[in-house]
Amino acid sequence: MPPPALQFLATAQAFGPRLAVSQLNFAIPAGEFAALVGPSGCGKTTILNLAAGLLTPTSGSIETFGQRLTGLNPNVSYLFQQDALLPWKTLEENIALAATLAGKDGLEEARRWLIRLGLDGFGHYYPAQASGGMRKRAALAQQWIPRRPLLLMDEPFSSLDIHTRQRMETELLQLWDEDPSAGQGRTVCLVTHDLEEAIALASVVYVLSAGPASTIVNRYAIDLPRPREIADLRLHARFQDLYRHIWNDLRPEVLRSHAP
Amino acid sequence: MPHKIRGYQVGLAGALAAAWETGARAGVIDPFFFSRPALIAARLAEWFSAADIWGHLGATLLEALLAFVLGSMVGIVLGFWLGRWPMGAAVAGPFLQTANALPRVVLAPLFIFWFGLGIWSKVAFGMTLVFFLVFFNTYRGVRSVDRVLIDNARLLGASESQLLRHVLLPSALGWIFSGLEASIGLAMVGAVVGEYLGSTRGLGYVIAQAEGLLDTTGMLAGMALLAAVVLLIAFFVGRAERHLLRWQHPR
Repeated sequence: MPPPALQFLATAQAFGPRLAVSQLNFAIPAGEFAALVGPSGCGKTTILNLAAGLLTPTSGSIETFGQRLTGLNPNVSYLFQQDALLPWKTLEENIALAATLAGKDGLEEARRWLIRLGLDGFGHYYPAQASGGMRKRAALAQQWIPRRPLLLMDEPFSSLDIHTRQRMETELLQLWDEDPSAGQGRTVCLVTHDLEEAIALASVVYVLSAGPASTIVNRYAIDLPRPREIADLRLHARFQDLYRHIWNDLRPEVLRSHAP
Repeated sequence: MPHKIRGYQVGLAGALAAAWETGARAGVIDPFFFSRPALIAARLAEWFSAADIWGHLGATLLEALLAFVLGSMVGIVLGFWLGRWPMGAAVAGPFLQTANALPRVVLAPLFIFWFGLGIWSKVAFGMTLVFFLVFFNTYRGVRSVDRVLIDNARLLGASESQLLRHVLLPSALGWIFSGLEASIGLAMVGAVVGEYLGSTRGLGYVIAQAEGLLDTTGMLAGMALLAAVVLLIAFFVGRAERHLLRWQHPR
């Protein structure tokens, strides 16, 4: 059994007097597509920032592939919720920068990715000129290029309209399925408040309790076959069963998070 | 639209000059105290034909340029350094605030005392004016870089120098340029005030001589020349800024 991509050991994070997450004890096995779902304000982003090493846990610890995490996590790529493209570089230059920093030929890599993600002809756009979908594609390319074994994603598609969103989800699954390192595939940890998205993409879903001091309350294996067709998946009986089942646990947390 | 604006501006300048000229000729404005545009223009023409003005202009420009370049270099380097090193910034903060609170003009005689009547006393004085403005702007620019952009670059594997080149510098550039633009004028102020207080060359010296003779035309001609030079330099800095910040206004 290889060590898990991420292992939280009694991890807690406080911001001043406010305890954001506490008693996190869970592992994401290498090669899984994991989704963390929870009501807004439950500390999902905090968990990803901890996993990336951008935060040092207030107590407890984190291991990544068997190594105790100190400082930035060298195994992760992180697709932020906000735009993290440099506004003063074009889409092509942004992708090329990620490749250069990964020790590859920046421009050649950037051209390949522009074509692969359907951005051919838009490489000279500055982020401000590009649509939300184009920006997300370029950001995804930035994070895919370094070939890190663990990809963290924070509500990556929540700012997109529903059609663009489904296309991006499909493209993400294709990238993940096609990953040449498959077998010893790339681990993904996706954070979302959208249960449908979590079930459609993930192989395992974790439900978080409402904050403050939120923690993992349950874990569900998603046994839907792959490759998945995102647009139709929601109509399948198995999808709906899973949705009802998980929503039963998630609902009280969502209601609690909205209580005054 | 820009043509129209430029037209109005030229018209306004012409109207003001014409009002001044006719007012002075009609005796409403006393030419002894206020001179008049035609006399000032004639004086400028005389200066430039006599050629010794070039030496004065060159001296002032050299002092201002050195003060501008050296002062902003120190300001930018220190601004980046303290911007990335909160501990150092916390320690140095009160010292910088205190130094900046000092009315700089009182330093000019001290610098003449230290560095002599040559150009270096003026350069040093100009630097104290330029440095603080550029430093505070750079510092603020570096501190206000979007956290996510820094985190993203670091996670993608950027070293501190790559972070500086690809993220911090371009991000802070807007702030740095607003400091640089404002300090062109200050560099000239430094040179002219320094010359004014003690020198044998430069536009400040020319204006001080004219004042000694109660020669209003000479004083105003010197001022007009100063303003024109500052505008000319600002134009080139503006061009450089538009080029470097072109991503902010993509076509």
